[in-house]
Amino acid sequence: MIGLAANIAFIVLAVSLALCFYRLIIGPSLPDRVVAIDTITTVIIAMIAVYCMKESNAIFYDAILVLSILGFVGTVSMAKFLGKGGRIFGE
Amino acid sequence: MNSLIFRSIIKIVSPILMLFSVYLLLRGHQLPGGGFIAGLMTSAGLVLIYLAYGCERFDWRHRSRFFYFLFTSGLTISFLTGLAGLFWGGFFLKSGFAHVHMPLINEDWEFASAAVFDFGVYLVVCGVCVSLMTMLGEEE
Repeated sequence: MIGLAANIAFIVLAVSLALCFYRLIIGPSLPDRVVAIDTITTVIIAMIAVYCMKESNAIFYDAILVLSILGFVGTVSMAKFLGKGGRIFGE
Repeated sequence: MNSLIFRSIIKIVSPILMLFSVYLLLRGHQLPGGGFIAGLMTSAGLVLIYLAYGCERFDWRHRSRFFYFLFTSGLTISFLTGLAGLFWGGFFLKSGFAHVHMPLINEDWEFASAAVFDFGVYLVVCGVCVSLMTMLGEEE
């Protein structure tokens, strides 16, 4: 039963990943693309979580943690880059 | 420009990141983890501190020599580990392990020489990421 639910979840997540890639390609402005990349990271995290539940091993949970932290760092630095007009670091 | 929410979150998150990177560094022999991802986690924590606080607590731009020292010493450690394999094992980067008796917890601890190599990789990744960040943050 959990296998069927996981397969359905994989299909839904793959569709949302395709939609995010579509936004990443056609996105008119840079903030659209940044949000698309952040959403792609979230969808991949959800895919790893569903895979871990389906196979019932806990070995990839650390990968979820690492991926979420790196996505957070990337999004924050892109937000600062966009907010300050081209300067990530500094005052 | 930096918001109070971001600074308060970084105060909580970055020590957890450092602890998590040590965990990843130590478990990386049999399980997912290792030097590269541990160095990446440490440098993510340092980048977050730099993004939140800038140079007001710690002058990153004038301490870049320390991070150069960090990654050159990491390269040296990894290379010397390879040379030790050449000496005792017969070929370059041959790894070995030993069981070390720990006095306090009274258990045998399996020490692999690949852990030293991983520590060198950790220093290289950490130093390269932080010095890259300080180079990007330099003013003209």
